[in-house]
Amino acid sequence: MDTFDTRHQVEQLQIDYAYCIDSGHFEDWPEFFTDECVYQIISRDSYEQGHESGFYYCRSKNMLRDRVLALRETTIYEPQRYRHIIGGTRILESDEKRCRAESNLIVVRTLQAGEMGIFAAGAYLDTITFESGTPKFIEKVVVTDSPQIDMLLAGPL
Amino acid sequence: MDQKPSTIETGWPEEGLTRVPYGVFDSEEIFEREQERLFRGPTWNYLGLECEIPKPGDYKLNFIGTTPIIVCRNHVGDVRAFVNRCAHRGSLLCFKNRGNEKVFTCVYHNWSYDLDGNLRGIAFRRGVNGQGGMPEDFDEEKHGLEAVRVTTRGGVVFGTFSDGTPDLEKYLGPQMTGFIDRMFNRPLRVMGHYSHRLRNNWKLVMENVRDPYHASILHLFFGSFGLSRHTMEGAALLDDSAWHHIVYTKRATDDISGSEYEGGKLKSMKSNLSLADPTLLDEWQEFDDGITNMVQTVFPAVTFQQITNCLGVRHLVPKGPDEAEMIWTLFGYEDDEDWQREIRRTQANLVGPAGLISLEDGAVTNFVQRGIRGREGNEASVVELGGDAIESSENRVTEATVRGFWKGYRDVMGL
Ligand code: FES
Ligand SMILES: [Fe+2]
Repeated sequence: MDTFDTRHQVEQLQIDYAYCIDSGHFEDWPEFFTDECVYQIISRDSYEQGHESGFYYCRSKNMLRDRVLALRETTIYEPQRYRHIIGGTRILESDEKRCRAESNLIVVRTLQAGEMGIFAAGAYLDTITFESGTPKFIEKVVVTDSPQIDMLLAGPL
Repeated sequence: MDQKPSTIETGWPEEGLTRVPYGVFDSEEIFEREQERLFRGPTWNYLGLECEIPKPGDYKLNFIGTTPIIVCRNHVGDVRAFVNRCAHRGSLLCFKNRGNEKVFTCVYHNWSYDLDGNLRGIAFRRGVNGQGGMPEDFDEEKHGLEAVRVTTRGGVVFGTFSDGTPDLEKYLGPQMTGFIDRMFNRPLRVMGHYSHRLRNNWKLVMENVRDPYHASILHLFFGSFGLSRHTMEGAALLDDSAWHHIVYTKRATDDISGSEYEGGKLKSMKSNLSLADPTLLDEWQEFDDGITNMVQTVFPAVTFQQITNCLGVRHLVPKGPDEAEMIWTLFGYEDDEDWQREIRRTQANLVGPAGLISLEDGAVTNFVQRGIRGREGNEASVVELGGDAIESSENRVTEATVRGFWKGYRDVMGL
């Protein structure tokens, strides 16, 4: 696979991923991952210090499903929306089976009364497999530049 | 913000501690008095963990109330703390969150201080070519950093501005001290560190943390997956002063039949839910006493928690009448094995601003801040669960622990 094709596939995956979250289709979110996977949200400072614990840590697709179950059934918060802007993807390594990529990320959060602001800025550190035909994340580490979350972080980034 | 007559003018409601006047949550005047009487007063304030500054010269920054603080380890290995304010013209002395220095040198005009806070160097002290410089009789000894009195227990560092604060052990009493020793019983290892910005007064967070009433009601995840219910064995404890509290539960000790949890009477009980990956809740018995959830506060503003194996410190920093920051430090022990670390890491999903059993707290404390706007006169909240008792009980359907906070608050604030 040439790099142009890899880049195209990765970017398309990011676009679909962002659409899934921003449109609130959380049930589809785990489907962007392989059964065995890691999804983490952690601050840049903690990531660089080698800390294990951040805001989210799921180590299987089923744990992602459980996050969605919690969002739907047990989590209480005011209606809000995310809007992801993903760009600047760099392919760090790739072969036919998988690749590692890093992308920039900005998420704007809009609260129901209209207040909006940059909720998160950071990077996706992704490992993606192409083996099943559809690209999927084996690992997705969301590294947030700020160590701070404003009020609450409900849906995934 | 709309300024209402503050509680300083109107006084505390005559019912006493079963009422909390909303005026304490949004007044500038009260906020300023808190800085002076509470945070600079006879209280021990959390500064950090010794494992964060293991070597001489290591330092980290923190706050006592709004005052910026440097916590460091001096040349002989003792923990020291100072106000992070240059004695010359007030610049922050350190501006990186942590680091290691042999001397602290202010970037503004290069005044420098040793690790005990003594002024050691003044740039151009003697001027240039005999011109300028500091007066001959300028006494450097009088211009060190403002020191904070420090104490440590089990590797936890506390500081106080007041000489009148009793020793930590006396401040806490034997039971509360015993719970600190229980959790901080061997060398720690930090596993995570983050901050949570709260759009509400800091005391709403302390009420929330000390309130066992809401835990299994608001946090549906808690009740639904049986992590904590009022029907389990547990206790709500206060020390003799009632300033500090502990609420704990022992999981797997309850029978919900006949209680409001049964048959979905409480909205908080969704017993039909099950996890696709139950390893999310994997745990091991960490302490011999069988306690699986424990939340302890040390007045005024720090919380130590054990949520099964997720151990952590939540340090609350007031930022203004309607804004606060909760700084989280999650930890395990140096001798943890990999599987234990992995369990702690997984359980960290339960806590923090994205926590499955805590996410709602950031929402509700803000709801109160918004709810109390536009009030008439001296309205107050009702804190009457368990009557007006301010004492320990095995029953956690009580707000005694919340009233204890307000007792400490009134003692110190003169309200
Ligand atoms: S303000 Fe620090 S040296 Fe002048
Ligand atoms: Fe809570």
